[in-house]
Amino acid sequence: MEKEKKVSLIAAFIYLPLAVLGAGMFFLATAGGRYTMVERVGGSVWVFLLTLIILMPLVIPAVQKRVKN
Amino acid sequence: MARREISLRWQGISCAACVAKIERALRRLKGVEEASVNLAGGTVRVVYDDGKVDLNTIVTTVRDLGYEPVTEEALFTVTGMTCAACVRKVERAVSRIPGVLEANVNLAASSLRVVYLSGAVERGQIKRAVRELDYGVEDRLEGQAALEREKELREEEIRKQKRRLLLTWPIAVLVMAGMLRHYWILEDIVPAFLANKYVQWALTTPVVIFAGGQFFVNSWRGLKKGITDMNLLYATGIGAAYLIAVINTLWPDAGFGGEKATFYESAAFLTAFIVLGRYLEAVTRGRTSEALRRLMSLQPPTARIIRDGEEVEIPADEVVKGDIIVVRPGEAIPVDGQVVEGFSTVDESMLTGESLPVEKKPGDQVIGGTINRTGTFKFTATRVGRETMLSQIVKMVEDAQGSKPPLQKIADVVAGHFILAVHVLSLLVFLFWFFYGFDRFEPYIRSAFSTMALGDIRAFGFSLLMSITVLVISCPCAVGLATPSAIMAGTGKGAENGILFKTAEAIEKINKVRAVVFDKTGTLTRGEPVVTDVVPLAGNNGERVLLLAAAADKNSEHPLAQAVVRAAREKGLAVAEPSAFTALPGRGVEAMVAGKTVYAGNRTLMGEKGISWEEGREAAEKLEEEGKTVIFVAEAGKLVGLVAVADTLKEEAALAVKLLKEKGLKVIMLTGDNRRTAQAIARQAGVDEVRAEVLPWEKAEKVKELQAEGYTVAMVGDGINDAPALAQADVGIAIGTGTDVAKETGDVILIRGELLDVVAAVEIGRATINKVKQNLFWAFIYNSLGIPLAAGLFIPVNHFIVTPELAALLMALSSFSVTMNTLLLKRFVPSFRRGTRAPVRG
Repeated sequence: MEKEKKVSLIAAFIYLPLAVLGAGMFFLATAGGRYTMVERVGGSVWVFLLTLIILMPLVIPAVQKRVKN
Repeated sequence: MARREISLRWQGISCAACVAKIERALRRLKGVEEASVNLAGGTVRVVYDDGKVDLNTIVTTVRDLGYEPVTEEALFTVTGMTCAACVRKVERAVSRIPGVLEANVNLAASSLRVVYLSGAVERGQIKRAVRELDYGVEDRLEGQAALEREKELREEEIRKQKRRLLLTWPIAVLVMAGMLRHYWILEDIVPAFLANKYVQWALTTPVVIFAGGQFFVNSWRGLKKGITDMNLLYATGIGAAYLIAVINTLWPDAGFGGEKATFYESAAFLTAFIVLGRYLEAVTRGRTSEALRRLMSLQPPTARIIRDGEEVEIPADEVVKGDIIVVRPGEAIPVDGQVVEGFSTVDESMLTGESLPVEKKPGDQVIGGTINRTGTFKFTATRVGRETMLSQIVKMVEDAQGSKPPLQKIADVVAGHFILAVHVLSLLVFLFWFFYGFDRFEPYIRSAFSTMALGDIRAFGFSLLMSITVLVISCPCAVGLATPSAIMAGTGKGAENGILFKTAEAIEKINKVRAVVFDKTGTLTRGEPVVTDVVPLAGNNGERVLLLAAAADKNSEHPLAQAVVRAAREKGLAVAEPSAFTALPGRGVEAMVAGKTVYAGNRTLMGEKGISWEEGREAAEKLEEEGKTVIFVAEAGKLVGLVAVADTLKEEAALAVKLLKEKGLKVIMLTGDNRRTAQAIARQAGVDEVRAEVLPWEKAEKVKELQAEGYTVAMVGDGINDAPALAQADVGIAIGTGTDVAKETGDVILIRGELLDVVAAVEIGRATINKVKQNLFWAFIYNSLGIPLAAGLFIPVNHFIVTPELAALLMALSSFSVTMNTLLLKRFVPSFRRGTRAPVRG
């Protein structure tokens, strides 16, 4: 159980910042007045969600493997 | 880190030296605190810190010393799985349990087979791992109980999905009616309040929560463990559609399309179609295991046995070996046994595929599950419970259905990674339409299945719509069902026709077979010599020659002598008792019949006794040319005739060989017999190539040679001496009437031992794999066309977009069509039976 918690924690420290980074880049890329704030925020949230979903199954098993070894 | 204690069982720990060696090796590992070996129990107890050393390292260390861990196998029924991604999810979660060596899920059978280190894993741990993913799991039962439990679970799943359907569909239709209220004459029919956004919100919310909630819970549980499945596709799809609808309701100016473009109908219909897909799957999936269910239901629930001289009815599973059982006309035989009294005919078609009833008299064997037709008889139970032929057939079919052919393993891996790829694609689609596509194409875009005014949608709303549609249309459910459903139908069809495929791989391999190797004796031939010719000489007649030979041979135990005696008796001749008899090993017999010395044997015997056989030379050589063994019969020092004995070809052998050749297969015969006999039999059977005088251990070598020439080889055999070749061949086909060793080694068993069933096995293999390929083709075509369509690839050409709810409908239809396509296999009848009789019932 302890090991699982450790894996979850380490993994979260990796995928969360990366997802935030992805969303942040989207937010910055949409600056300049062409898009409304709602579009920019909504888009950033969607990018954050999809990036999170993509990263979680990649990062968690990798961390698990590393912790196990 | 946690301190763990584990006790593992090992094979091969036989002495004190082994104990010391293992203990020393383990104690050297960093993290192992204690290691002790129990020689008597063959167990190794290890206390270790799992932060420093893991179970795998411990196991590998002992393995490297030359010991093998004792493994156990557990079977579970898992409910709630719907696609190949679920399969991978469960397999991965279970495989991660320390001590689990193998985890195999069969989606179509809803089964999970786990091989684990004995002592390292509790069954409860496996169940917990599956339950944590929100699937139902329980120990898999056997026989009739399994049947009933499986049916119960399936019905429960159907009821659950039906309840969700009943909740979802009426509401979805109401929401859609509200959306369409301003069109056509609907304004007069649909009440105005239904078009109110808040009413639509109130209607859609229970649909998303109660019917769609399962997707959110399941996907989050998987995601937490780093495992994705198609629930995630649905959850993101439904969640995003619902969330935007709520935003558009509360803040219409937010830029998601405003009041006219709420996504409520998308969220409601998306859920409705997905639930419809699950319902159709639950209904149709169970049908593929019907053959097994029919097999299991063949055993009658009760048996009438004789106890203390009276007939007593008891449950069939309480019958013990040695019980005397009474069977009346029309009744099913409860267990296997031997007839002790009475006469009847028994319909064995359900197990052997043999359409004609078989006569049964005292001494004959009866098989449990078959139907007594005409008379009453009593028999002694010889095999009961799991030992009966029916139970063994059921077990083999179950094992085959639970195993995975290589094709499916690939499909599962593809489907497992597919989800991740789809999310990447969904993100790319979103970014493309957001930054480029919307401005470029938006004014021309039409929606196919929605009342949405696309003109009101801005870049974010539109890009999100495309992104969601990609997620929904990509579900690999059909890919997951394509192979297992066809394999189940194929193995079931085999069982109906008296052909048992032991594994799914056997079906896949038999489809690739290009050369069929037959053993001769007992496989192509009856394996029992019979008298084929009698040649009278020196003025005698055939009957007299046969009679003299039979009388001389009467007391001999040699198979050729017995064939002569049998032939005389079959002709109704009264075989005289010889007054003296001597067996002359390797040459024949000498006997005194009616006061005269009679010799029956080979040329050597005639030579030894100084009897001229010149008169019979020509006839003898001709017979030997035909592969027959000639017995010279002499009376009072003079040759009186010849009797030819041969192992004859099975009736259907020539037809079977012809049909196999018509299918483009090379047919070869292997035999230990001499070249002349072998060639004669091969000629009669129509076999292209003969390899004669092959020693038993050389048979496997010959198969290997063919494989080296590039052939995928099927070996058909019945004897112990065929076992190495059966094992070496790509597909070993054992004749069911042959030895147990052959049956254990073979990958396919022909229950009634008919050679035409080799043809049927090849045809079933081909039909099943064709079905798998068709299914995979349609499933992948659906995804290959659906995804670009959903991503908006064709918008520049046709200005047409697929909405999420249409994507959900297509997804449901793909699974449904794959299952329906598989069900077409039920109509399969082997080519040689078409038009001659109805398919054998099972």
